[in-house]
Amino acid sequence: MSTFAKFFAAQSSQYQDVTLSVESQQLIVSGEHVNQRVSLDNLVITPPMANLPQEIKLPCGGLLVLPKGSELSQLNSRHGGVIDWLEKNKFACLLALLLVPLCFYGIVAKGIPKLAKEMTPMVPISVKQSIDRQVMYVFDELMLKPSELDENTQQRWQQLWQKSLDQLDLQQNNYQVLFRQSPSMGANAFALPGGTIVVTDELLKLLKNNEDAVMAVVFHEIGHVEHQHGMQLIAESLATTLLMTYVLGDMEGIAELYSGSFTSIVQNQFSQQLEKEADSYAVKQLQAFDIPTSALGDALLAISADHEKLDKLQQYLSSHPSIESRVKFAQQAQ
Amino acid sequence: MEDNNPPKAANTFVPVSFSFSGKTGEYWQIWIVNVLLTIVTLGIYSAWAKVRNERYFYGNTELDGHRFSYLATPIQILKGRIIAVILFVSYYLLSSFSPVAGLVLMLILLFAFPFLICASLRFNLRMSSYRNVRFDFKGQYGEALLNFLVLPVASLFTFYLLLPWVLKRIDNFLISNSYYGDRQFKPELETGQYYFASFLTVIAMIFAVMTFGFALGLAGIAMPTPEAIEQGSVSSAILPYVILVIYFLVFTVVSAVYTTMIRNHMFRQTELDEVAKFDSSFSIGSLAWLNLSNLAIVIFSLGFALPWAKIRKARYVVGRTEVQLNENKENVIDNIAEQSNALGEEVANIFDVDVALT
Repeated sequence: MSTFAKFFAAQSSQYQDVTLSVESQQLIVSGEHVNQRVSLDNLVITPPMANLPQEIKLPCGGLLVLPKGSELSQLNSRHGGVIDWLEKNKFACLLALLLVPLCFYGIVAKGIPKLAKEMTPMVPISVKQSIDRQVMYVFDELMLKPSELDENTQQRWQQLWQKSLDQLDLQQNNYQVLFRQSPSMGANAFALPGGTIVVTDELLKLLKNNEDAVMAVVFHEIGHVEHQHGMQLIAESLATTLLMTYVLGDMEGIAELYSGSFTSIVQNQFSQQLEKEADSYAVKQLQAFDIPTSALGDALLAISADHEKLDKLQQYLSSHPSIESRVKFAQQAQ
Repeated sequence: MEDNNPPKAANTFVPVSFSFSGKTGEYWQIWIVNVLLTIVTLGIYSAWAKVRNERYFYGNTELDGHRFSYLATPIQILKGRIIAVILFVSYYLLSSFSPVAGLVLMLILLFAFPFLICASLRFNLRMSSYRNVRFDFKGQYGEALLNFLVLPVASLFTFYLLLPWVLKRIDNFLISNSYYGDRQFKPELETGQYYFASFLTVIAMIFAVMTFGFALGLAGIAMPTPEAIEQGSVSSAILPYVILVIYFLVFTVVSAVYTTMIRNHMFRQTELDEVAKFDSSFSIGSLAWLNLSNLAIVIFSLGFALPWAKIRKARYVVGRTEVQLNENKENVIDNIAEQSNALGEEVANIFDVDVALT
């Protein structure tokens, strides 16, 4: 049995027509100016795909191109065509169409968050504290100003923290609370992974008459630190970026922006989960301190009234769960 | 050995057939199977998937009765990919853990950028072959640094007046350093064309922005009255998304102006040394429509019709490209150095360093 092919000599763009046949584990190439015998083990054959012609690279650098549709079956059987079989199988492709979204969802919603949770305890405390120092340096330069609270007020708040920190059962023992003024952030509080918690003057002003509410906010922030949410966010966004790069592959031009917005929705959903976790931590601590858990709801309501109201679409795209659901959660914890 | 005086064939160039035979259904099946395998192997199979995807497009592109071949092996890609991922993860973690180190790394990356462009082009061209002869890229770091970094920055200080000239230099750098076997691609680009194309692009942009602004004003979305928001008749939340969509529309249409003019010019003005001449017949309307409809296809199918968009693009590009070959085509020799690795290409890929001739 023989097959026709085009034969290109090594390094040459000239070709000649040849006949191929297989005999006792050897490929015989014969044409007007060629007569070669090559052991089958020394051939490099392109794996079969769609109806692309088979190409055979010879050890000397020569190339054989078979006409479309014809192939040396003796060679093919030696060459696993499982992938090609799957790609040509309608049923396998429909199954893939079902499995791709399922697996994708599984990885994004379950796999990556679990991985993030398990990786984060591996980060040493010294690294986290160095993050705190550097972030505070950048923030102080860019969007924070020294607090304008007077010495006495600061002292009073500090004593309150100290008292409650002493009573908490904490994983980390290096918490510090800092006061800053921030026109750009407004009434706000945030926590850094090393245990630095920043409260803005604006927030204290907003919640002035309600020590319980301030405590609720701080408990919420401590919850972020205790659960290592900062590290989890880093791990999660890294994993999502890698996933998108290699699964979706070469999205061209603008389509890339589309995959980018998908990534940020995924990340915001993840961050909403973390906020909920910090809320439940705060509620648990409030209960331990015999403070009504509605204090958290009060604080959230006051803050949200201070910020802009969000509608349904924005809620979905936001990094925080809706205020209504969080207030409800705090009240029901009663 | 080297054939230094080929029979000086009469310099007649003959148009040859150039076609793309990829089919949407067939490619979709290949694509979906490869995406699934990539996911279930947690990304490891992506190297094999890349090779299969590339092979499909190369192998279905036929010039003068011969197909193109993609030569990279999955293992080659995988090795580069593993190192690239390690580098990227280190970069990401280091810049998250220390903003200061992040800034330093960004600076290093900036200077690595011209190197990555060259390495990536070199790999991709060396892995491309036609008639058993490979392509190559011989651009060097120094010249790349000048063209991709120094001159663009310098053009900022001229209020972008130098930018069209810089863009011409970049295209010239990319084409004239490309080789098919022992033959060099020789461009004769005209600076005037780049200024003309840039000028029309700016005009198109102004025109597009004004048109959309006017349309929005008519629709009353641009300036919703406070009462309208109060009554909930106009959602203020929708506005940013409307603007985003308009931005995409404007960008797609306007970029089609530049791409069309410059690509047509580049192809007409480039000759593969005594072997091939080229022509390109992109048109602004058809290219803008292709890109817009492809974007819609990808978005509304949630990404699952990406293969359709890619096949449409390939058909358009090949269908509007003309190649004329000389008798000399038989005399091209592959004299390209053997070693090449995928590291530069893979690092460029993950850090999103992307350079392509339009």
